[in-house]
Amino acid sequence: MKKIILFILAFSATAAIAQTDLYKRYANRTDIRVASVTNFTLDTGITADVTLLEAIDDSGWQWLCTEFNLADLSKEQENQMKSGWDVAMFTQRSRQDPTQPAPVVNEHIDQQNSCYIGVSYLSRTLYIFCCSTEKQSDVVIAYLLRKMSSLNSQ
Amino acid sequence: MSTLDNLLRRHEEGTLSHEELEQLNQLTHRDQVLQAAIQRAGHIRRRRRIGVTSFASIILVAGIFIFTQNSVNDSISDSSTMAQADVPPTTDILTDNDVSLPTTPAQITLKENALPTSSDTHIDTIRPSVRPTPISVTPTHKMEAATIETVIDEIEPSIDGMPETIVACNTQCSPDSVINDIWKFLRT
Repeated sequence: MKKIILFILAFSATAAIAQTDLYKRYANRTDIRVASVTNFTLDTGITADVTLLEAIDDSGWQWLCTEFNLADLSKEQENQMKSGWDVAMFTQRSRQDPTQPAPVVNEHIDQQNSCYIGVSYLSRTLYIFCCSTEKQSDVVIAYLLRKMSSLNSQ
Repeated sequence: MSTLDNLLRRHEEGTLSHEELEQLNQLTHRDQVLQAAIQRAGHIRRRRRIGVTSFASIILVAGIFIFTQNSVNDSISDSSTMAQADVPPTTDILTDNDVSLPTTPAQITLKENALPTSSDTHIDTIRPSVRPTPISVTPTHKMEAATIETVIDEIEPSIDGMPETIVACNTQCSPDSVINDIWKFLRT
């Protein structure tokens, strides 16, 4: 029993360390609000670590766009945002460094070493979901797909 | 000497009897008929020759015509095949143009929505009027506005095996608002 608890502690600590690094990277910036959520409950028994990066001002948002290489919006999308619409983006990045592309193994994205980033252009916030297990990834992807389908149906 | 020649000689001498004269007339008539038949046969032969020649000419001309036509057709089909291979037919180009003519804003939107730099990126638009329903945070969550260093120390499984939710922020923010922000994003 002790071994199992130690394994869980070690596993959680490893997962949290990556999140700690991510948090520390932006914690000292005054133009970015960074929030780290450990074990955010996605479903019954399914949790994931989530990091929020919210730009407080324009310079913070410009920096985030450059740092994470976010796609520029078209004029039409910018006009939509001016009308009050939001533009959301989902991307898969490296788990070790979310600013880098997701690692690829045998022409497929390495799910074990990747994380999911959701971007809200209107609220200028990045939601970084770090998953440790395949089950966690499945739930996060399910949420994102559900969101996509709900957006398409509107 | 034939009978006709003998009668003709005697007719010239004027020694033909009435019966011989009639016989001469008959023979002459026969000869005329024969000559006429011979001439007619010659005409027919000539006609046949002309006919055969004409028929052969027609066949030859027709053969040349058919051969020429086939050659032309072959060359046309070859050229059309080449045209199909190299350049789409004009009608196809027109059809394509007709199809692609109405470049609607919707199509532009789709293309531009698919523009993100990385292939694994998706962009969509959210209606501002559709706002997520605020959700209550699960009571088992333990929230703390703590630094990340203390978070690492506090990670341990809860009694029911469910890991505790811990929130850290670099600004003054409520853990509830952070959790709600995430749910707002996921459930929009």
